[in-house]
Amino acid sequence: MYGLINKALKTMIVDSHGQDAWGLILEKSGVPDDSFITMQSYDDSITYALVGATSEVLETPAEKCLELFGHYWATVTAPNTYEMLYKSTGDNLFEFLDNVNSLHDRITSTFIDYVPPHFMTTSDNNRMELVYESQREGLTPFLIGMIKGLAERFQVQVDFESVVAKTVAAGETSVITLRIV
Amino acid sequence: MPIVNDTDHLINSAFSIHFMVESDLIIHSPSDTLKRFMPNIEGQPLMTVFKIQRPSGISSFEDLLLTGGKMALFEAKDGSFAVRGQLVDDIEGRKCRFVGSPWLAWMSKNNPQIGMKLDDFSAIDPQLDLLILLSTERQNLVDLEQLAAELQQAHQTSITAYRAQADFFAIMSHEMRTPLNGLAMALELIDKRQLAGDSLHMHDVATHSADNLKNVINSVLDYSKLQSGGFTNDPVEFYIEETIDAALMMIEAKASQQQIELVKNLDEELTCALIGDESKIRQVLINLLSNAIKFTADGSITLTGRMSDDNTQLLLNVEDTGPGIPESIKPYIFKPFWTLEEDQTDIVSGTGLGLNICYQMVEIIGGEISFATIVDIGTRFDITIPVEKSASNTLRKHDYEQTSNPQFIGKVLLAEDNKVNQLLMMKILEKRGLDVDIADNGKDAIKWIENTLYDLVFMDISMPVMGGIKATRKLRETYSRDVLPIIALTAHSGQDKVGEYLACGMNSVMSKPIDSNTLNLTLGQWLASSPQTASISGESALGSALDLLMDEAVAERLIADIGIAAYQDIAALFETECSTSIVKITTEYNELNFDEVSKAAHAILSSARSLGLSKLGQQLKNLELAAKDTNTSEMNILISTLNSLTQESLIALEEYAIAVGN
Repeated sequence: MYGLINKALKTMIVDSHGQDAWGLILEKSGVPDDSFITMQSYDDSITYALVGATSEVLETPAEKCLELFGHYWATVTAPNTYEMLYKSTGDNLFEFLDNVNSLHDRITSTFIDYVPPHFMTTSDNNRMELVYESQREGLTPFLIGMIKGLAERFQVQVDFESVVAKTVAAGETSVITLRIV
Repeated sequence: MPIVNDTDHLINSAFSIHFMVESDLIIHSPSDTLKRFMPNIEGQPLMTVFKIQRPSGISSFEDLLLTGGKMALFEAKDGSFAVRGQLVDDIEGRKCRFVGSPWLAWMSKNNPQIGMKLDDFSAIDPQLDLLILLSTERQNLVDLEQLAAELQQAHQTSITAYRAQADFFAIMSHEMRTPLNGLAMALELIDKRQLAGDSLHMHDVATHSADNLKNVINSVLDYSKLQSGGFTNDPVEFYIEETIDAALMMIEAKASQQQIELVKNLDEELTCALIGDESKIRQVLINLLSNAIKFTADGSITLTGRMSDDNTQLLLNVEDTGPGIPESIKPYIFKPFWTLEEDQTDIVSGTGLGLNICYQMVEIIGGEISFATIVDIGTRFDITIPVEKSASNTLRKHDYEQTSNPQFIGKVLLAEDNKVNQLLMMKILEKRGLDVDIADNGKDAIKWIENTLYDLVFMDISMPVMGGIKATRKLRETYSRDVLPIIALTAHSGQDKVGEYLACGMNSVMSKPIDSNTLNLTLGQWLASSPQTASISGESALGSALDLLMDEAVAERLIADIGIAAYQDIAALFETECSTSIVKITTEYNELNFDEVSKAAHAILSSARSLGLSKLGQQLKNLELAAKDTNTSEMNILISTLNSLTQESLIALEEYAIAVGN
């Protein structure tokens, strides 16, 4: 993953739990240093190790940590870094989720070797079924957190009716059904 | 826009913004995206709706046709929107079409709130990609700035920690040295004649261990000072032969004890004055010589010096006939804390700092140090140091020839606090026919001058109550240089000091001990000559006698100048003053008051030299400089032999004073 992700995780921990907590997480993760550069590509194992260590240090399940991270990404990192682009992706939650693939298309042309997830959406009034396909495993909670963060951005409340993991040969596919209440 | 044919369809797919302009410059058929942002654009005149940024100089439909294919940048005149693209004309030239997209850069600057969508840009339009790239690069820049700040912070932290460590070493070394000096002194005071067998052996072991420990502590102090940036390049005018003699003197006793021959091999060119950092050159030579004697069991140590062919570098080398340096430790020879572990015995133990200190000091003064070694044959250290030959090219103090002792008419005031110097200078001046008054300090001098008319004033620089500089400044408020000539008397001969003395109002500067020729010239410049001119001894050419305990040539010249009785009086006074000063030096040294050590040494060194005690004078001069530099290792060596040298010198002086009286 790109350094942007690891940097965001570090910033989130430092902002919420302080520099010492991050130092402990870094030590436990075995990652040698935290001088991440936004545009540089890092091995996925670094991000997974950092999330694992975060879970251990904060004594919080990894899924919950990922969800918090997704929320932080949607509400802090992305708006701060790519606000104009972020804004152009949609004026409401469903429109945004509909357009995420287009956004990823643009990013792929800039971040070489970027492998984004794919979203398929079908919506009806206030309900949406979102099929999330990723070549990476275990990141559905991150998406849940992101959707919660986006809901805050668009000032709506969402209810997750179901999150179902589909059996796939590689990566991860989840079917998420959500409703704006 | 209604899609009417394949061309329209193609254009609509490829460009989010497009519209037609007819020969009357009216806009037709705007695209849906354009209409979303500019709903009333249909049927409007192009020039009314848009300000045309590019191409420039458009005023007619024909102009538009001529610019086909060039970049077109149009800003809505109400400032709400802007488009970028190009103009294409149709085949018959009756219509012109704009194709393109929203002008993203303009929008982000002038109307970022407009709310554009990803779909407002066609897939082939790279503007959004560039926006991502720019945003990312901006973030990269922030990352790098943050990284640089973190590195700077880490660098500062490490420097602070490094200095704290150096300070700690320095403080601890000081703390250890005081009781250690007490221990060493106590050991010296034990009468070895009363010891025998194991007690004598244990005394030797204790003395040797205390000496080793002192050397270790002094090295650590120097190293700490180097690490904390306490040394800078400080060039002065000097004679390298004197520096080399002073360095050799440090190991003379040990060399004699070990029956090692010391050889000095200097090129004739090196007799002239040089400008360079004498103090550090001396320290480096002492370290190299100490190292050489530590590892040389028999044979010789040779110190060679010459100037480079272009006369810009001083080339020195110290060569020994020791065991040589094993291949395995050659790369580490200048690293700190490295010692020759193989076959290491108590005799050669050390901190492993000596050569590192040499390396750092040579580096500070812009030089280079290297070595060549052959196992079982010996080692040679080569130093190259940038120096200048002094433009003044003054003769060495002890090389001049005195030819006459003229008589003068006038009243002179001598401001000098040191009793020996007072008596000495008074006798010298009186022998030249002058009437002399003495003031003990600058304040007294001012009082004397307010009440008496003087033709000339000799003003010492360092005096209690009020120093020479302050007194001269005050006097110059009333008396001009022509009315009251003031000559500085100082043992500081550096050009920077001379400039300072002249700037404060002094007419000229004379170095102590007094050079008769210079004194005669100075007196002749300011005072009238007397027809009675006494002759003085012509046998005044002095040899290089810095190592002489009693330099009789110097003493004879002084006696010829002031007479035997005056010489004996001064010698007697000096013995008392010198003994007091040596006690003071030792006390201040043990209490680490190095400024006071420097002052006390300075106070008596010129008297010692004037009386002919050259070796003592040189040792006091070295001590003064070492104390000024806080060069603890050199001070330690000098202090350790100062008492015995003083006693030997005073005995020699007394014997000489009695002998000349008979």
